[in-house]
Amino acid sequence: MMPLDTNDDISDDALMVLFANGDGQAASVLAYRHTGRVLALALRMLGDKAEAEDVAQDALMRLWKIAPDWRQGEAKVSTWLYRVASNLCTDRLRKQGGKRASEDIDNVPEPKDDAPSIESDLIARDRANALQAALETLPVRQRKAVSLRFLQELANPEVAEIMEISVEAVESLLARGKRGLAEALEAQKMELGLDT
Amino acid sequence: MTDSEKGENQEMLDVFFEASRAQDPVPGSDLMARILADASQVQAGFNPAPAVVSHPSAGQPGQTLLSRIFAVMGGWAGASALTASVCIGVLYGATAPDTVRSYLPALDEQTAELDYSYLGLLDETVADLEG
Repeated sequence: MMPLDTNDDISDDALMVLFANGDGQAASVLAYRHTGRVLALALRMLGDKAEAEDVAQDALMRLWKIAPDWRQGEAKVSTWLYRVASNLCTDRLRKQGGKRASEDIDNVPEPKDDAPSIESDLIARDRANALQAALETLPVRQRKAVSLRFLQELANPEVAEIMEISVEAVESLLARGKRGLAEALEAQKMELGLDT
Repeated sequence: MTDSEKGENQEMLDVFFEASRAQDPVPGSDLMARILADASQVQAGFNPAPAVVSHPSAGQPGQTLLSRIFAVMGGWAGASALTASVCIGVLYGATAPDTVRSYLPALDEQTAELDYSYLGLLDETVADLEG
């Protein structure tokens, strides 16, 4: 069996084939490679850690199931996962009827270990929380487009592929989304150390 | 909104985006365990373990060779049928060849028409080789 734990440059397509053929390590590599980004998108879309984890698990479950039928070169695994996860989030938000997620401390993600100092970490966390709150005021499609483009840092064509819309439609969603965010965050600039 | 305002907004938003990216969640060990358990479960469905099929020739521990042969023949029913067939075959072979021949008159005619002249030629060839 191929030592996948030391072979991080193996392609996702190859890992899908290995997984479908019964290789036990392929799932580990795929899961550790993609779960973080799927979880991040779901958390930004839903604003709830437990729900975001459920979405991530569900999206990965769908990936495992489709492995035998995976068509190499047709779609990137990351793109496919983003699409599935974002659709799952949309479904959950619709069921909630646009209800905004609670903002208790459990929903705030853990900070990264390499934060330069406690003060700057607290400021960054406050800004991230403020952005999350502003994101949740946007319509779902704008929230999805902004999250994929500016937080997952994907190119517009990939965002378009994930959302199954044109690049022009993505640009329109992004423009409106940014305008909405700016309006929502404008009043907090001072307290978040941005107004000079 | 002027271009200047758009630029200011973009700068402000970039700060927020950067702060948010720095807070990217790290999947916990519980979540990873659940995801990998799902993967194992789904993967088991792709390659189901072969069903255990008992093969008569494999036998069971403690079985003798005779009992294995007996089992291969199909037990008492198979052994009885085989014995009966053998007995009938021997009986017909020993006692009733004429009866069989009476039902096949064409066999006698074909036998009478056979040409054995090649045997004479064979004798001559052998004699030439020897002599």
